[in-house]
Amino acid sequence: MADNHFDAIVVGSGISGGWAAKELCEKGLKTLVLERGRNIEHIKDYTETYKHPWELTHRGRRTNEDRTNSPIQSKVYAWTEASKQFFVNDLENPYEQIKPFDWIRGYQVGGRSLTWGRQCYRMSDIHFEDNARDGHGVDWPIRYKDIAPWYDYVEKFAGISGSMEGLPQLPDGNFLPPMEMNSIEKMVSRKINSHYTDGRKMIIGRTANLTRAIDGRGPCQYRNKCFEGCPFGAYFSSNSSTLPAAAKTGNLTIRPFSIVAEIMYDKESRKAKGVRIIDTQTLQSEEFFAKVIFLNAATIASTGILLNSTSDVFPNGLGNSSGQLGHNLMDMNSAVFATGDYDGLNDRYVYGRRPNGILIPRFRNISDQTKRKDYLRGFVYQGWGLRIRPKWAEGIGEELKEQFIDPSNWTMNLIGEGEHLPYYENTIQLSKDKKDKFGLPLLQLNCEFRENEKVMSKDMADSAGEMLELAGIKNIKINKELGTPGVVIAESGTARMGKDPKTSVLNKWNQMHDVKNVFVTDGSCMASSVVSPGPSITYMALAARAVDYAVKEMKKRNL
Amino acid sequence: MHRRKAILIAGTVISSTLLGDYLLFLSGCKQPGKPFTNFYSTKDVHLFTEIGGTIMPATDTPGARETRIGEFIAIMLSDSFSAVDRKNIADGIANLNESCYKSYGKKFIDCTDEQRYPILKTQDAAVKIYKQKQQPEEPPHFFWILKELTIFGFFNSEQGAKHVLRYDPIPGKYLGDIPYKKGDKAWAMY
Repeated sequence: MADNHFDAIVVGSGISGGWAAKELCEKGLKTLVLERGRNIEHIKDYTETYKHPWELTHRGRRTNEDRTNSPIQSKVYAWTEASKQFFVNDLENPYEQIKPFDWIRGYQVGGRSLTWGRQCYRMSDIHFEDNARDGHGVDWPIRYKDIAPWYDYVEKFAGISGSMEGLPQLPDGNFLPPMEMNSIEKMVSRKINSHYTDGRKMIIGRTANLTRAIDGRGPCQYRNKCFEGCPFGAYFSSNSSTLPAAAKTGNLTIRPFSIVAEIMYDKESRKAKGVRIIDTQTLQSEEFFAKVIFLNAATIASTGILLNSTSDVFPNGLGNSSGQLGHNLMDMNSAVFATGDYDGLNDRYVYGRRPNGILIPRFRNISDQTKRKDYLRGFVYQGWGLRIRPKWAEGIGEELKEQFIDPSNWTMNLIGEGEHLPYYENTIQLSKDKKDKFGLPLLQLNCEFRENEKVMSKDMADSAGEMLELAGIKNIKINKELGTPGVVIAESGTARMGKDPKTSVLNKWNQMHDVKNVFVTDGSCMASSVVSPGPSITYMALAARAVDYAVKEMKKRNL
Repeated sequence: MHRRKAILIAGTVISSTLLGDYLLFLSGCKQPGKPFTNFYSTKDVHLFTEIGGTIMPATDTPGARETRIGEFIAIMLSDSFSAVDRKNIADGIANLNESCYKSYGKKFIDCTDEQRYPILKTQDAAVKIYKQKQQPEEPPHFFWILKELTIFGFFNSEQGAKHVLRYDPIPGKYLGDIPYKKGDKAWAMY
């Protein structure tokens, strides 16, 4: 095999790319993974993670330079002085916001799998049927039974801790033992679970942190420093998990510093023949060829690559005969925040820092009983109870100091995360005149929340307040503002799956309707929005499922 | 009056006009000390340490003085705060010096801890009133900044985390619901 010919090319090394690479390699395909950023070697390159707070110049806080160089990235909850090396410099990586959209990126081997929130929630048939039920978007070409075995498969390898709950809107999975709720969470969940009869329940978060060791990884040490990279390999990332498994086969080649500029189309065979990259160090173009291509650069970048892959046959982007490519951009609406404190349980405390919170799964529009007249779809809450050292106290001197010895009262916090309908007008486009330093057109993001999201937001705020009040929480403060899309990192939908090639880009196997040897298995495939703060497990399952299908098709010589 | 005016010039006018350059006159010294950051000298660091040390004193456990809090405050003010905030700090410190002159006939840095305490206590009360009226676009009170940086810096210092609170870098397990009795120290790193 010539050194620029492979069986398979995977574009991107984040969560879904890592999975595609692992599955392809394990099935015996010589696989090239292209990553635009630098290499990150597991453990060795987690350079900040063992530092004590006093060993960081600003003890973790943001600087003016951070806010200048990365005004967008530095907004993210996961951004600290110790994790910022895994987020891009915004000035060096521009894009255009037609409407405000915080595009969060990590350009390195492992991508955003190093800094992800690690929450993992299965989609249920309630979600897969939403589009068909209310007429927004196109019907999903798959149902829960199609993906369920693949959820089982990826959960077993990734290691997801969680509790079995038997909820129709949130299927149980192949879980490691759940983490424990803390005292206030136990109290609040008891109150909520016994009060409501609408299927509402507060459960411990399901997270890709290992509560038991798997294959030499973990277990979690409860430092809550995941975003800095885990030297114990105790959470799932491409670097800790899928890429080492892929490398073990001997079939993996990873090429960092390689931006994929376009997928090259061959008119004769009606297939993609390979990709053209730009080496970010030499600025030279190079071509790589393969029988099958997996596009896993994450929603926005994958869509950008397809839009930039033009030819006589596909003047508006590869596989875009439907005209849907780059449309229907969705995120989650996550700005509603409710917090309050509790005058009680002062004789209870915690040991360790749990990198996980609680979840209240969707309880609106999941049955006839829970149907809302004022909006479609639903939302979840993430949350956490906290008992921490006080942040502030009155006075100075000894009287001040002694107020910090005891922990503060418990607080309970809920964040609402609402679904986003697919609107054709929410788009990713290529700039016609502005280019980046590699000569590639800038991406333009034009995305907004609309009436349905706004009305849902109000219910999110009201319901959060109601539940906290029910639990006896005092001094409740609620932020009711609608957020800016992007910052919760749940962008999806711009190369959607569907049954009909006229209205969708991908078929039920994540395979392009128009170009059979190209598969897209990241968030861009979503036909409806991310339904909870943990869509990545779905991308993992779809990636593994798509590779299985692709390799079977190759064996049948259909690809 | 003359002396007060001279202090005002040293503390406010000059420091304000030197914004963007070294604010070497914060401590009111004629010998400004060596540059420590782009904005503050080693003398300024010493002054910040004394303010921080009065806010968070050593008791039977270490205080902020033992953690070189002045260096942390100077770095944070230089790297994470705005020019407006730095000017407010300079003006606020000039104000402190003025109060000290009025009460004791000397600068803050030359006062004893007992003399400094009521001066800073007054500022702490002023913060409370300021915060009640503060609009979102208004900058923080200068003493709020110094006190907040002292609290944050101290409890994230080795001495503060290990000897005043409890610090466990690698807990190894999570227990969410264990007994607590009054006097058990809070955990650092939250």
